[in-house]
Amino acid sequence: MKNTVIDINILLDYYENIRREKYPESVDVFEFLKNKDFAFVSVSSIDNLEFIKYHDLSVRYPNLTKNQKLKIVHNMIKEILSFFKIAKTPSYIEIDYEDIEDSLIIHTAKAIDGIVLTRDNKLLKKYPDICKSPKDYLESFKNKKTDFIPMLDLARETYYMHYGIEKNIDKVINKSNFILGVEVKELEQKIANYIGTEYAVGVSSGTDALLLSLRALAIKKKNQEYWSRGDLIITTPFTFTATGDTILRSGATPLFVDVDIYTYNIDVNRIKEAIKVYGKRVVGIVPVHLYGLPCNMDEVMAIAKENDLFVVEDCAQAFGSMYKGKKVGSFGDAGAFSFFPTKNLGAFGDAGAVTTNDKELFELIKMLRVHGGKDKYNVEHIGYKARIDTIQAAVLLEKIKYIDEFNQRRRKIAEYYIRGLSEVKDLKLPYIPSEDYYHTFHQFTIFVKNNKRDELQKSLKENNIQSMVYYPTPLHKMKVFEGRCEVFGSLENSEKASEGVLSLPIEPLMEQEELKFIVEKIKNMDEYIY
Amino acid sequence: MRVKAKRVKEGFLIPLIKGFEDKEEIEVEIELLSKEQLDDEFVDKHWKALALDTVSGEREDDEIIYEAAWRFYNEKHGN
Repeated sequence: MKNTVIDINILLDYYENIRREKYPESVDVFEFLKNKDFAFVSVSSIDNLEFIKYHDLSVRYPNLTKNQKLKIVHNMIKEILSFFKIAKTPSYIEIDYEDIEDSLIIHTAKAIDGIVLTRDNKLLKKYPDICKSPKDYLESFKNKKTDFIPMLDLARETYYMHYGIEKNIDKVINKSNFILGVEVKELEQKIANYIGTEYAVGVSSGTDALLLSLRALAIKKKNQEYWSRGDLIITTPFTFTATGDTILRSGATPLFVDVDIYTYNIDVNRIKEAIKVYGKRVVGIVPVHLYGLPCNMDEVMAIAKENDLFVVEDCAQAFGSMYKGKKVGSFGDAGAFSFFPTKNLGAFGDAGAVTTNDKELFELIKMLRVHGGKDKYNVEHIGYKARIDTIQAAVLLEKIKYIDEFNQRRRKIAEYYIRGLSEVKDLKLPYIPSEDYYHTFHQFTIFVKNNKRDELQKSLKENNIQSMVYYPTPLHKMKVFEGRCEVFGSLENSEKASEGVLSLPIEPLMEQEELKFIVEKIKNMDEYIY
Repeated sequence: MRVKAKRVKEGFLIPLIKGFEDKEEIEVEIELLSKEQLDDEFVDKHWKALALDTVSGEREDDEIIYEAAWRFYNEKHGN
């Protein structure tokens, strides 16, 4: 849906009976756009609304006082702004001196990659690519062919919550506190409270969150900067490469243990068996809450306790996911979160965080993120440049307000998919073991049987529907891990998963028509693919 | 009170009378207000009806806008 800036003539039409009769399309389009998250009023229109309606009231009711007229006008404006958002006029506009008012609204629309909805024929003629009449606008929705449906629509999400983001970014720019400003501490506190840990440390990425956690544990447990190659850290091969490569970068060796074929999370029974074989060489476990589905943390923590192993939870895809009502990232020694832009909670670039209840780990990770010392000119450890930017913290401070709402929307979308696709043969839908697992559906991932995954993906593409394979190559098959990892037994499930998984679009703000379209296309394909 | 109503443009007839259609005269139930009754409380309660009842639609948008700007700034910012 294109962002739509509503011109003043449409707004005035709605609030006068004579105009409503004369221009019924204005009324229709106003009603259609009420409370839609892509409908805006330009800030440059607001004072025009004020003086025009004031004038109209003066003509109609000569005996009203100035304050009474202002009251009516301001109530009207407040009501309009309860339906639509304000879009600012950017500072970088080129003013058209032939009609300054028009150029302001045109540039407002351009700044948000939107269009202007107007009855002004002059505007419609001068800017045919960017202006639409109410009639044409409504027609375009009736005859709408489905646009390209992406996995995620970050621009749409940004404009859903842009007030707060804009305000927060402006504050940072005005203070120019770009490095570890107050917003970072504020965000860390909010994350710790939300996840349910004592501490949180903002870092530069989810990858660095994992790495700094593993490095800090080596310092704490072994009094060494790095783990040794003989130290094994158990993890899954069916994950993003960062899970495995941070183990390598921390000095240790990843020990890959297969996944459960239903959940795609690490198989806890296989962990137990691996420990029987590898014994004291195993120093820790990095369970990955893949796609937003928590691992069986009762079992993981029990195994860790019994064998004196650390646990670093890879929560990159699971901000807000819960196991038995407790947020992931609060079970292990540390939780590593990613705020990469496409994550359920995403920044405007790379960002991440570590959560922990361990004060020593907290202090170590804070040092490691700033070159390894409390004093930057007298460092103790081999550190990194791994701070979260203040500006990313500022963005996340606003976006975190919406995380529960957005996670719930994802769950509703998943429900719709599951209901709609349950009868499609040769599709395996996401499996949730029980109500103990609160899945936040960072990805909605199906499994396509009989080697038909690539065909289905191709057909979806032909119908303008994006889909992704997470992940096409399990880590043990990647060149970087050749000769650098241990493999426990068969990794058949991980390999099978990589051959058949397909993730479908799951944008929290997607329209029901888009979902319906995707489900229909997959159901239709049932006939000729299978 | 029950009265006959002819199409008029002045006066303080609230709510807006919609029953005319193509008739020039109809019977309606009305409440007549004095000038004093068009007070702040009344405006607070009926602001929308008052807003809807303006008549700018009878003129072109451009005509109104310049006149409006002149009037508003003089009144709002004047004594």
